[in-house]
Amino acid sequence: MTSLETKSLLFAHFANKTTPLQQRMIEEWLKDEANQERFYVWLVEWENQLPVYQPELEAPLQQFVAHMSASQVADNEQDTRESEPEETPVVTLNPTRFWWMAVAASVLVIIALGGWFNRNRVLYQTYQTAYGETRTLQLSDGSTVTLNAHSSLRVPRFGFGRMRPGRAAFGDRSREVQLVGEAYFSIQHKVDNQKFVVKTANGFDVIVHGTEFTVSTRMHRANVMLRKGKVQVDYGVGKTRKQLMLRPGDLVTLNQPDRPQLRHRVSAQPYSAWTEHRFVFDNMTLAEFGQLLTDNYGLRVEIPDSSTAKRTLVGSFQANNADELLQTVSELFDLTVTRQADTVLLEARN
Amino acid sequence: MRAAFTVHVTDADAAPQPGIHIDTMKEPDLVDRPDNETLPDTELFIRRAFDTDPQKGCELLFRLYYKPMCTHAVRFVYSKEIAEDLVADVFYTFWNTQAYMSVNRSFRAFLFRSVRNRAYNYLANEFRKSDSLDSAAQQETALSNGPESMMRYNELYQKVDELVAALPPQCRNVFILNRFEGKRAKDIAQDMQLSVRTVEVHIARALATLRDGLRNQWFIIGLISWLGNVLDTLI
Repeated sequence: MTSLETKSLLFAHFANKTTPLQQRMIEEWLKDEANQERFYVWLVEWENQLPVYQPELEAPLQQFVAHMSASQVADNEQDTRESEPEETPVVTLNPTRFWWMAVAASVLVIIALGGWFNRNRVLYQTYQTAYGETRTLQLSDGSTVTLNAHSSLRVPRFGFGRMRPGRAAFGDRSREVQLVGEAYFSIQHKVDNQKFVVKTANGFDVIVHGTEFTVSTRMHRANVMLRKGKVQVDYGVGKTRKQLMLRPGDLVTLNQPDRPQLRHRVSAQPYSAWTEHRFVFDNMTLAEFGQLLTDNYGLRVEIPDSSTAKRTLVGSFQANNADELLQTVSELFDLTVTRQADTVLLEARN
Repeated sequence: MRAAFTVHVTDADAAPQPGIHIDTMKEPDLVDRPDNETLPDTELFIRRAFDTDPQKGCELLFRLYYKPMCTHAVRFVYSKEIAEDLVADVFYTFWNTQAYMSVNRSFRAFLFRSVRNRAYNYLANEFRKSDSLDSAAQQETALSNGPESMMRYNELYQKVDELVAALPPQCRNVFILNRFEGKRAKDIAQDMQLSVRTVEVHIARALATLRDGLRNQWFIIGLISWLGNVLDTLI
């Protein structure tokens, strides 16, 4: 076979126009390592001749060059930067701080008088959403939180975002919230790098360094999806805690608290889609979909046929309530929906 | 099997570039090389650049291969945006890990192997249930060599093409507008005068078809690249 013949054979192969016998020939030919090099030379040539679209080069190139220059500079400075521990800033007692301390002190007195059993009500503000309701809150430090349906967030009433870690009064509990359910966080970065911690009852905490992300502590899908910035997930059972640093695009699933599953380069959109009444399903089984209806709308879903329950959903749908969502899904799968009060029966249509 | 379709670009502010343009009539020019045995070393100049300034070398590689890598990756993932992300990722990793120091064959082969591998992993992750932490880390490094896997990669995008081509016409158009062009369901619905729900159901159907159709591919390729790696470590 001459070089020209081989080349046209490969071009045909790249265009998926070869027969199995020709493919066998190519495979034999590829056993020579020099030919593997030729394969890529011709692949580049073919792609350049018959591109499926024209990618823009300049902008990504500039970004890449900027990244390279920046990381080179960072390399030089790394020694000094990396060794610096995270310092807690020196705190001086200014009038506002004093005032807040006074308030906190008097509150403590009230609590002491009012009895311990009521202390959570006094110390914490709890935001709750009903089934089918989503709500956006602005916290006193400027962070915003969107709560998904049937979720609650407990925020300290006093000293939130003001007390710095290391201060004795309330310990370093400031900017520490407790989540049950699912929420989307957009955290205000503090000049002093003060941490924001999301505590969950599922055996993991999320420690934030200024960022946007989603946390879910639902029964069957506890996860954290990072959209921007940097967060650290602190997980484990009992005393043995482990840390996992997330990069943007990372999704960590913690259905078993000590065995996180990490995926990179996940599109963040599906995990915050509910903030705009959008549902995004990525290989979700109908059974899992039923669980989602339970979490968000308090509906009990029954799927008697197990093979129906295993069918999977992919896609993104807009729905303002449970009925719209059920309608879309039943249309897609050709299901009959029987709804009685809070119980929904899904069956394949015959 | 070659997908033969054209897509009109309706974005008013987009540059006058063709959408998907596959001209089935035109055959590429084949130029016979006078020398059958040795290929000219087109990367000699780049190698020289790496000797003096790696950053310059990376920049030259980016200029030379970014476009063909994108147009190649898009055949697997069917999305410009994802393809460009994957290719950028290859280059960023190439720089960050100083992989260029250990390239013993051509940069071209290294970069194209990486991008094909990444495109495969992307598809595998997108159309398959998530893996545990361990196997995800393992996949990152599963850069396989060898003729078998080189052939399998081509089979993979051939399969993707076949599956997309076999979709009902309207479903296919919606899918390509959404996935390849990156248009939102709402805009597609407006352009094609369909309801948003219909568009969303079309997209979901197309993705389900791809997932079902590709189901058998993962096992075969996974096995082959695994075998390839085992062989590599033994030799």
